[in-house]
Amino acid sequence: MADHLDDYVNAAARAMELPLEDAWRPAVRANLEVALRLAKLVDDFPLPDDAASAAIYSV
Amino acid sequence: MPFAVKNLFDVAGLSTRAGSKINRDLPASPRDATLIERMEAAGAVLVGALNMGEYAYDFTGENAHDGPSRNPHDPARMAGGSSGGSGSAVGGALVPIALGSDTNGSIRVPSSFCGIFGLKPTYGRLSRARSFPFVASLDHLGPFARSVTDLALAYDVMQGPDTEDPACVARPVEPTMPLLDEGIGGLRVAIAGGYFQQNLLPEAVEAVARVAKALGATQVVELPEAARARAAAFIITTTEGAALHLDRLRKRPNDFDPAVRDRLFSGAMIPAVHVDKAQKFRRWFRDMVLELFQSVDVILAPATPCAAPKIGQANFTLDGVELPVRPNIGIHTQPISFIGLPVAAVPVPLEPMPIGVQIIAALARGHRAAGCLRAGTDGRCERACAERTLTMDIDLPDVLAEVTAQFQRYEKALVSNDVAVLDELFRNDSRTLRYGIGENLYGYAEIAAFRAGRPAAGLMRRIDRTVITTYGRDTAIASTLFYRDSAPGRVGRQMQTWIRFPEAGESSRPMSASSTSPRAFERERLNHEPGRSSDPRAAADRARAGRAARRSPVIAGRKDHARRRAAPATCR
Repeated sequence: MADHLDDYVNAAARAMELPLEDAWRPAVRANLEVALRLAKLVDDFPLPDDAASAAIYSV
Repeated sequence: MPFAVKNLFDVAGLSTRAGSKINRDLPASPRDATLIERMEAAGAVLVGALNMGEYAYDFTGENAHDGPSRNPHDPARMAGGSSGGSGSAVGGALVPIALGSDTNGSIRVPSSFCGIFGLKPTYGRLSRARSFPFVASLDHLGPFARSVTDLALAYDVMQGPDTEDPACVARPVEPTMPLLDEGIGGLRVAIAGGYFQQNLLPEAVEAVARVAKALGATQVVELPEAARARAAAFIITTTEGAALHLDRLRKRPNDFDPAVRDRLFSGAMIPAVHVDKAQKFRRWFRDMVLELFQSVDVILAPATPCAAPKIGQANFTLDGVELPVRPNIGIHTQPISFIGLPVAAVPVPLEPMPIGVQIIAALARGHRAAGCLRAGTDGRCERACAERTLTMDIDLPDVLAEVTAQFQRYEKALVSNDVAVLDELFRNDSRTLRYGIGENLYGYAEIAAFRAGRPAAGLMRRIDRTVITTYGRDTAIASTLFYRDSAPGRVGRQMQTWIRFPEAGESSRPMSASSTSPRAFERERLNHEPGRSSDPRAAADRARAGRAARRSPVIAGRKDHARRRAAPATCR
């Protein structure tokens, strides 16, 4: 059953110019669902406003 | 020393595939990767590029384009990924050392499944110059080996700054070889608790317990928020991976492995706010773990939740929950590489399949933990690896019985001049040869013609002191003395080489089944005792026979066999 996540997948594919075929949509959606669940786990962790990104670091 | 590399390393003259179909269209690389150059400068010889999961986004070792890398302990099982070919090639003793990459566990997972050592150094410690990237802030390169010494040797010769990799640190070389025999040397070794003691099958628990016992580790420490660390690594991986491949996803989506494409499509749709949060959490987690390393020097953790699953296995059950295999194999490796910690995966030779344990050290202090690699497994894993390398199953009872039956069948056919059976037992190949009392026959056709034209009389003989030795499941040598009443005072000496060839039937079927009889090289020589013919042509034939004997057809056959076995792992 289509829901808001299906709508999001369709809209994001169009916006990102990704040639999403119908046959691939369920797997893409399933992967996105997992990713967003994990993203929420991270988002739920409180960090101070001045937390710095570790996108680049050295040892 | 021969070595091979995951096919995301640039090899001069080859397109860098990175396990993909798309990259085969790239021009040939003009120069080897830095790590290849350093290995070769130290005397190693690159012998091939190895299969891998597409674009390194994989934990299974399966590849939609080239087929799976197979586990050397059980070809029906996964080698692990994404450096699956590296694990297969080292575990299967095709090469002593291979290089691979590890973004979320791609060195440690194949090491665990294939029962070998793998080193994921501190982030930035080994140059990644001229290798195909995946996630720049998570990518590491490192070696696989079957011994701690080889692992340390490879690591030591590859160390050093490299301005061609912006992440490569300018630290001096810190040799690990001299530290290997120092043991744990007072290092404080702890076991990772909490997250790292969950979602494990019994073999993973047993493996950690064995290494902990060998190192005398009893203290349990908890890496805080490890589940979130794994989640953040997942988000960073899928989004950075999507960014890397965005253009290819738009232009050639049908040329991807569907499982990789669908994840990258998903990654391209994740809002940037999540990525930013993941990167900020990453710094917090890094600071917390480094704080933990103030009280311990080494932490032990499972490398994989289980031993190698079957190739194609979709799900497994961890802690009572059925989960997909593919994304969950690396749940215990991802939090560690997430913050660049140095880790060695050490094999624990459980039956029926080995499994690995992570020996984790503080950033840039991995060399200090080198002694743990040898001490941590009490030498047992190295011995197991060495045994796999050096030991061949000799005289397996079932194989010996098969060959003995075939030897007797041949003998019966010989004395009764059953030409059909004799012909059947020789391989139909121009390289098959037979040396007889008065003839040297080269090729199946010459041998068959000789059989057809030989008189049937006087073939009866008595054999004595027959020795049949089998090597592995597909090779055997039979030696016997024989005597004929028609040649009193002479003793014949005959050696036969038996090889099981696939074209003679399925190689797994018994040798003794008539429909799957192995073809044989036969070397037959009857020495006249006393005295020998003075015919110079016969003398020349004897000399030629001697040379041929030194070029043992057994060895040639084994080399051919080895090449056939090597193909799946080294040519993909």
